[in-house]
Amino acid sequence: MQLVASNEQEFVLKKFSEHYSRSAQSVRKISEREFGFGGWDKKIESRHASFMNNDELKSYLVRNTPLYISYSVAFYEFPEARPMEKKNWKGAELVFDLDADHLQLACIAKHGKGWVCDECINAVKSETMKLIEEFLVPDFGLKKEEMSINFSGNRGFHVHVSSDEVSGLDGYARREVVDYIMGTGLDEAGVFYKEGTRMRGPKLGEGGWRGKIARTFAEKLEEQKLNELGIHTRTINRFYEKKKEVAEGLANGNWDVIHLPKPEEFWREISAKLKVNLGDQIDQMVTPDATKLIRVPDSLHGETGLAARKTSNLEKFDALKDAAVFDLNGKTNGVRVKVMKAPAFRLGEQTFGPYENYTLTLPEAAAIYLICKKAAVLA
Amino acid sequence: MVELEFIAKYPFSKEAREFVEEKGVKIDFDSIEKGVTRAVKALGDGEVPKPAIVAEKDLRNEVASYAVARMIVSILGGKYLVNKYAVAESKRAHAFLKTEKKEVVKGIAQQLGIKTAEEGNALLMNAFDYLRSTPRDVSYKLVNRDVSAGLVRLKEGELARVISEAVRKRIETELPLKAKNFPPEVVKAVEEVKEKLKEKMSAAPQARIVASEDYAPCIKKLLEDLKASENLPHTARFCLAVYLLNVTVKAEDVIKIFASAPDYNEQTTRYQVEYAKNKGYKMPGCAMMDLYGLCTQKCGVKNPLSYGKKRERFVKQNESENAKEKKFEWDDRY
Ligand code: SF4
Ligand SMILES: [Zn+2]
Repeated sequence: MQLVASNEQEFVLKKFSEHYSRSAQSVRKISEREFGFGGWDKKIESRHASFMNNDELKSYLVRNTPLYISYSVAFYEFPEARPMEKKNWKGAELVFDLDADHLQLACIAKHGKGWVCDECINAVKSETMKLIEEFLVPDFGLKKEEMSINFSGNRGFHVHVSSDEVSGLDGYARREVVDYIMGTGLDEAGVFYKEGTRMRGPKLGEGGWRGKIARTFAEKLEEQKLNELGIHTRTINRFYEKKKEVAEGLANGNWDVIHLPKPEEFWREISAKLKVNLGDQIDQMVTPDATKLIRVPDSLHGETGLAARKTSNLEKFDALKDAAVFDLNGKTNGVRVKVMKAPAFRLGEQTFGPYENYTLTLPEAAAIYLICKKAAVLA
Repeated sequence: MVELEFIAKYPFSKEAREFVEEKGVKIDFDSIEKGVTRAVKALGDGEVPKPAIVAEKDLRNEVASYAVARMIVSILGGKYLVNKYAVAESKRAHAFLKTEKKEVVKGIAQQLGIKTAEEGNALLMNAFDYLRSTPRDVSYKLVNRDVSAGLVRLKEGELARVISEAVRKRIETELPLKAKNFPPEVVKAVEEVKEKLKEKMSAAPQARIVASEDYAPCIKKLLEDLKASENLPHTARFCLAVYLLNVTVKAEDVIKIFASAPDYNEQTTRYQVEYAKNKGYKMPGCAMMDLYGLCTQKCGVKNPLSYGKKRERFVKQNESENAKEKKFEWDDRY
């Protein structure tokens, strides 16, 4: 923190302000939301702010330019009022916060905490797709039009569900959604049980987790990849020999043919494979907390200078390129910076670094990125 | 008569509302007496007894007693009593619903905005409606349910339980009644209710944890709220439970302190506290506490758990008049 003199702060804020003066704001139901702002030291320094309309927000952003802008997932009658109870909660979006940090990826060893690479982004992207394709759509019956997805501006994605159905859900109900998605509290004893001498278990056509388990098993059996489910090689070969019988059993919930010697391991592996990783207990609280403040979609992230860009095609979305708002090619004048230390990183089509105690001229976007990460100063 | 019986059983139903609108309810000696009993039983014992209904007059009184009890609860006011009353009425409704035919149960569900559909013998309901009214009970946890395309499959008898939860929630939002011009006889009867409740309350055992001086200010506040019989939000309960477990309050005692919450349910609380204990959840830091709106004063520690240890030092520093500026660090995840 001390490394960064006020020159850098001024420079970044000026650039942010210019960006906000160029772009229109389009926050849905803006007058019913609480806003919070953060600066150089803290992501939320003040909260309980509100705006009548998007123009008002825009002029605030141009004039007062915070480094971070968050808004409430909740809608209130009096968003400015405090304490919280006086705001009069009217409902809230259902949000999910997916972050590469939750995934304990191996690439961290390469670039260190606080930095992002394509591996990080791709991993968290596929986790987000899993949330939508395997849970929100098939199980909860939500439509894609009811969801909006945006890049967090740093290492993750946010999914906002805005349908009326979810609006009134209380904290308990939201917690239940999280538990479902993470497979928390799954009643292991109830999934497989004895009926007389027969071993009964989930059927292919069932809904919920039981169906997911049966279908995943069937799929891996078909692909001859049962080893991915924590089943020992010797056992696996027995299954492959009797493939047809096993598969028929699965259709009726008959698991007799499948004698699982180590059910706990199978259990652990299969649920780890199927669940969406929303991080630890505290990270997961983002969803149940119906008064949470979360980054305003399309606003700038003060740690990267990237936009929390909305996307309607997650699969094709290239965060490290599509979220860049400042000049990437050195078209405008480059910015001369002294980089203390930075690993190699990609922005747009270019890879920069690694740098250590090195002074050079960088395209604006890369310079801002490093200054925001407090890894560089103006030279 | 059949219809009147239905109305007496389900005074929150559409039929009951129409009946009251059309015919009105007679507030007389009988109905007030019944209303007082209903309120006292609900608030004191947590249960509204099923009435022995024989004559039409009894039925009318039963309907009126619901109206009177609601007025009484509204005059008494306070979230705790409202919630307690709602819990008792919902239990009563459940007892009746359990004995009804499927069609009747479905009809009442619909009135409460619970959409159901049939598939063969199974009953399906909208998953979000289900979550709105789900009993806080392990066997109703969504993760163990057959859910697909936004529909949850219910087992025999479960819809009745879900409806009774919806009844509880509805009463909780309806009361206290907005109207303030209650009949003077009812206002007078409230005194009687207060007297009767006092007797019952003083007999009830009260287990509470006295906040230690060493507890962080935010935790003391939560304990006070609980003492004032507020229903704490989920995050607040979670933080309080984890804190107490971490300062080695026994799980058994943690469960007891939640007993003063109006929606206290021993089984659920036990499950949640023991779950938190066995999983060894970490105490959220002060930055998170602040985000949840639970930090009451930035007292200079990073985690509420370090308050006790540091408190002494703060006191000393302040005494020697050289207290440094308190540093507060932000938790930088998200
Ligand atoms: S600073 Fe921490 S310990 Fe102190 S009141 Fe706030 S949350 Fe509690
Ligand atoms: Zn990476």
